[in-house]
Amino acid sequence: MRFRGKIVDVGCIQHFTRVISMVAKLAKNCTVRITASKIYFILSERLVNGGVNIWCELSQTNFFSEYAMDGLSEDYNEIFLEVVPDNMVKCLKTAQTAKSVKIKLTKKHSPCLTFEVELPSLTGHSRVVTHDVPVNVIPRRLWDEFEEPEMPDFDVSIYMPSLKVLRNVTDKMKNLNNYVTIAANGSGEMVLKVETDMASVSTHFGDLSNPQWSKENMPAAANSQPKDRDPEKFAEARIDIRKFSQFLSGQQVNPERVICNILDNRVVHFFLLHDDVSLQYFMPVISS
Amino acid sequence: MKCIIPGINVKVFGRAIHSLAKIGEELYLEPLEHGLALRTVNSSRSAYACFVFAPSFFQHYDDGSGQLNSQDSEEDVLRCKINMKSCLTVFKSLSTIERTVDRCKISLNLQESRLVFQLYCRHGIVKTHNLSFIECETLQAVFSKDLCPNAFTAQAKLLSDIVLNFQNNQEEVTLIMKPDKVLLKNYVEDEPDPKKVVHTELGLDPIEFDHFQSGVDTEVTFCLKELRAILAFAEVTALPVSAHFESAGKPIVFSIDSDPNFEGNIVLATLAEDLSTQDNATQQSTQNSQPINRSMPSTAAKRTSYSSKKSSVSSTSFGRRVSGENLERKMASGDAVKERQEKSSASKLDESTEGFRVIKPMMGVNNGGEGSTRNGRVNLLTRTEEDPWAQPSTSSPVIPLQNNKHLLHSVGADTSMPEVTPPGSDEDDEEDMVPGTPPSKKFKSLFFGLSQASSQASQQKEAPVLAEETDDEDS
Repeated sequence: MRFRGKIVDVGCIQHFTRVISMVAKLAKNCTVRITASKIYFILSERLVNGGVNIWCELSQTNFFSEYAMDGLSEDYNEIFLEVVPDNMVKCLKTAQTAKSVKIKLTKKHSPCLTFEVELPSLTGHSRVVTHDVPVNVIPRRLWDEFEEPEMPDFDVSIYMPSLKVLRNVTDKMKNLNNYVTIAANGSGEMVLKVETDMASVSTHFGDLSNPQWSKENMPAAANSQPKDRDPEKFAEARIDIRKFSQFLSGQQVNPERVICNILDNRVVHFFLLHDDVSLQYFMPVISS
Repeated sequence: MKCIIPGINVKVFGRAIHSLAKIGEELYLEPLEHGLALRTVNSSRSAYACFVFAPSFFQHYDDGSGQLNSQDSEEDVLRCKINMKSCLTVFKSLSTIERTVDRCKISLNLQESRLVFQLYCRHGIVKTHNLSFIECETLQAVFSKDLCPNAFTAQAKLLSDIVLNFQNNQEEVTLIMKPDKVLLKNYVEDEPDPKKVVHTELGLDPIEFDHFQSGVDTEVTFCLKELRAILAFAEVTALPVSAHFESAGKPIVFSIDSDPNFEGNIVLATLAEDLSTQDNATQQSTQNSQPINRSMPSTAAKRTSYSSKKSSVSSTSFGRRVSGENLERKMASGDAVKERQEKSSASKLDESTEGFRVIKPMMGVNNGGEGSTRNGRVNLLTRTEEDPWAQPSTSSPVIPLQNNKHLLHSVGADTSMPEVTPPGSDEDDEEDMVPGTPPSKKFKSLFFGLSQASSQASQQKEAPVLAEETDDEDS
């Protein structure tokens, strides 16, 4: 297995750093899937740990000026690695003003992703900083665990309001309860509600738009059309507020649109699309 | 003691205190004839930092030795330590200080036993801070920059950039010196799995340094956190930082000495191969409690003994006298923190600092008229290396027990002095005969392995005890 990629544009380096920081905020360990055309960051947590599912894919051509990989074999030309994204972020943080960053799969004391950062130095010389991030190679038999999750047959799909506002609201709600109910309808209304013994606090957002899903836009699932349903009817789901808050605060990519799909009392799905980076975040629902 | 710092320098002074605050909990203050010394040492005694501000830094500088007569000077010259946090509150907000303070006055209030910091600000506002202090003995590190074969000088910005590449929680870093380059690696300990940790490495070309001298190929590992403290100071003042070191186990000294008005030094212990730091820390902590009053009664005796020693020594070669002093210091300071009794009167101070200079160039280096002594110092060094140590039999008795008396009890090492009550905790220190010998060999090797190459040989000849230690250390 070999992998070698080089990023030379400062803007690309910074963008790549932002994407990985976003993933790092959501998960401690994640899986990196490297294919010839894309790089995926995958997390599928077990329910005991919260059960969130992250699927982030980016197109390598947008970032790398040089890219070469040899997967496990001809038939399975992919590489699956388990890595701590935070380590990668720390390495890339030093590269924000770098001339170039080379990422290679190497084997030093253990399999590593080596980041070679070429920094400009005061004398015009180049200084090379090497970071070896330890990784685990995931064997072929486990690859099936990392399939792209199916987009469920959601009830409501809505564009979320400004993430900054949502973040503020959620932060305050965190103090009240561990769970927040998120509800939305087909007429551009969204409600966040948190309940305690003594009070119930809800924040209403209006004038939002509902995306129209066409068959092409759907990332995976076969049945892509939302059922016919009364646009005024709310679909709601109760989710863990801390995870939701983590998701909101991790957003550095400033996506134009974040779509929230809710399947009543089943699952909440957030979908971001920005510059050829797409992130899907599934949250399981906690029944009351 | 009274000194007044003009407005422009108050910020520098404040920054020095901020840097020292990152290292130690207590600030040792000592007004010397050639400047005000601010020193600190960290709790595990593996880092020592010292800033000396020359009289030219101040608008008015009075170290308090003028009105003292030599007999009393021991008691009255201020040697004290203050709580670092309290001192930090005085200089808390550097930006405010920069904008509002016209001058800062530091004086001693004897009646109430307070060290008074007064900030004279604009609009007639005077902020007075009365800090309580504890009298103590001089905190002194014995080290020699000139003896180090490896040295480099770099702009502070370069070093800061380099340090940025390592993670904030990175404790230790290894510096590898080769003739054609310098490598820095993060130091990974064996305990948590080394395979799970990110390894970082970066290489530097000698061209990037202002001055580069590679004498010995070596690897030294030291704590990054403390280095960051002094780099923060250097970067703001935009001064170059130089590093002097020899090999693993010997301390590495980072200094800022290009400004004539002040000098900063930070001495860091380096990891010695096969030695753990735990022993050192515990052994050192036994050294720490130095009851102050112990020194007082023997003051007079001490002084006379010192002068007698000096007279006897002065008849021998200068190198030897110096070596004698070096020796006593070295012996007293196998211990990382050599709290030695300062010979107090002004004249004695000169001579002591002279001898001092050999070992501790930072003292009195930057003041006027030291050009010659600088060269002289180099000669002294070489002489001390070869010659004086060859006369152990004559010089050691010259470092009579009397002499080291104060050194002894200051180091708390020896038990043979009648009036000296060593802390008693230093039973680890074998020495019955040679006073003030380093208690902790391991520690010595780690830090004030001031036992530079020169002293190693000497100490071996000096006293069996010392030799033992050095042997252990070498193993």
